[in-house]
Amino acid sequence: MRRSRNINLVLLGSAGVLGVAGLAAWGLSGSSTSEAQLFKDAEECASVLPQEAQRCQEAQRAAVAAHRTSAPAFASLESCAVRYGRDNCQPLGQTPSIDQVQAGESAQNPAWAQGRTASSSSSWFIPAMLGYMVGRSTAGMGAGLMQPRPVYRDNVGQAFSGLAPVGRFRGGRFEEQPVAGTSSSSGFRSSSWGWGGRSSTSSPRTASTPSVSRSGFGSTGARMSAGS
Amino acid sequence: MERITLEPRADWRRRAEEIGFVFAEVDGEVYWDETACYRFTAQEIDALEEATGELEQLCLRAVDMIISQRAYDRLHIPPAAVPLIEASWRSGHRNMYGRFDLRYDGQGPPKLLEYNADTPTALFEASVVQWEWLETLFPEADQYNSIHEKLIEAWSRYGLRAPMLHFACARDSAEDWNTTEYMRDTATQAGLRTSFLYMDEIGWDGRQFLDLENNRIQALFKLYPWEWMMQEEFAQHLPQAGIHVVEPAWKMLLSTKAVLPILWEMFPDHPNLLPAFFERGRTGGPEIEKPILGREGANISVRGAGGALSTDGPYGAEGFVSQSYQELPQFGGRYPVLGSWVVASQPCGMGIREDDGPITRNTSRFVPHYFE
Repeated sequence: MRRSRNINLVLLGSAGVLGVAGLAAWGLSGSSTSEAQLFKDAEECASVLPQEAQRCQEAQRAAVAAHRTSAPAFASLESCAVRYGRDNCQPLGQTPSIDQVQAGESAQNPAWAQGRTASSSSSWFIPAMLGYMVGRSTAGMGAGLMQPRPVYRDNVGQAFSGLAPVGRFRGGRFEEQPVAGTSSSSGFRSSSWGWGGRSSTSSPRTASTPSVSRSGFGSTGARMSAGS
Repeated sequence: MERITLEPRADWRRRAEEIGFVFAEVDGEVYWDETACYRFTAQEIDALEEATGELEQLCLRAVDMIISQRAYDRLHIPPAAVPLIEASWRSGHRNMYGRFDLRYDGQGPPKLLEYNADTPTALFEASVVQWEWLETLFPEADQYNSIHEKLIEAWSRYGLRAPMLHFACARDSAEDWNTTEYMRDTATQAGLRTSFLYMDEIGWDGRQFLDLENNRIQALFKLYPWEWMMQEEFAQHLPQAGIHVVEPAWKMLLSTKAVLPILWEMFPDHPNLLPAFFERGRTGGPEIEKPILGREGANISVRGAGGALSTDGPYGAEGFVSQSYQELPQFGGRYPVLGSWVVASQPCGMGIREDDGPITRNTSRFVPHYFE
């Protein structure tokens, strides 16, 4: 046999796995171009969307997988703490592996979620996952393909999904913030921070970085297709 | 090798969406075309696999020769790229993938038309979409396609020393985005930590490249041609940024049509090569002229094949090469090009694109295959 025996996808596709019913069919209310909702865990998700309990579990697994693979990583606890607060940072080695996530281990497993006791094989630190966003997008390139995305809370209480601010903690209460724009439901494509096309000398998120210029790559691709 | 017409599956659009294939149709035209498929014999697949492995070895020897003789001018490599090319080759920065476009009719040896060594696309279609098609329509048949498994294996052996591998492509191309996310998917499954951003979102703070979270970019997979990067403002920072790029800079020596005459010069009369020269009129027969840096069948012209053929486009400033012209074979009135994949230099699969005309363009359709 010279064919692949089995193909799983963890980022592309509906719930990440071929053949599994898709998140594209998430029945979230509303009819805006992008719809997304933040949940603390699968239980909360299922209480809001009782008919979607199974998908809430799948979404949680996918979000934890994304957390494991793409949470911002810092070389030291200190540098993580500057941005996310010391109590919010944990060694990378204490997050579950994708295998564990796919095997269905709970995101609430205290051994890593609380994560201060076990020794770590990793020297990287990442912020704890606050919850996850699920939803569908009906606009843009990734229409209908939105992945469940982990949400993080920084040290001033702002919650982010990718780059998109999704809410804020004030006095112990979480205030949801409507996700603006057509593509910001998938925060990694969000331009709501205005990075593209200009230099950014200051922003709430880069106070410690004096000057970062962008758009130094990509100008040719704006005119032609890169693939060949 | 045979073309078989089929009834498309009634739910093919839904299936495409479910597996995350966002460009099954492009501008309202079908790109993923399952009204037909190609059937091969095991012997034909053997021939294709062997030719592909052989061509990859020829190309690696060509890179070695070009670097040792510093023959960069012949390939129109910009001087600023030379240190990057040499450093990436000498440090052994690994290649992930490439696609050889082959002319093949099931009879003679497969012939190299060109090598897409830097930014090959039609990857997700070949690896996942046609596999899903095979699973539902011909579950007992075989397919020359273990691309997905080979990508995961290659990432897991890549030996990247960086906390995160960033993935980037140009904005506003669904195809590029889908292909890049697919590569990121396989890297994720290999246990790498990954993140996506667009090329124009890459930041520079005077010392290092940064992502949108202002984390340092130490390793970057880019579905974005090296020759474009080299023309852009941030190229000047590449030598001192300490960034590991995939595909590595040495792939610039192969992702140019100028390597075709070099290969012919090094390996004359090789059965998998077509005669190619930097000058016109040296093949002694009909020729196709291709821009040294060109894409998607643009700016090519055919001479002396009983009628002129040409396409327009934005390329050609760096000059042209002339390659012996053999028209693509016709199957059911269509002209297929076989895109034969290597992952980590190992041949591992194939995707077919066919067109109504003898020049394969970006509007050509992807047609699945199987073999028995």
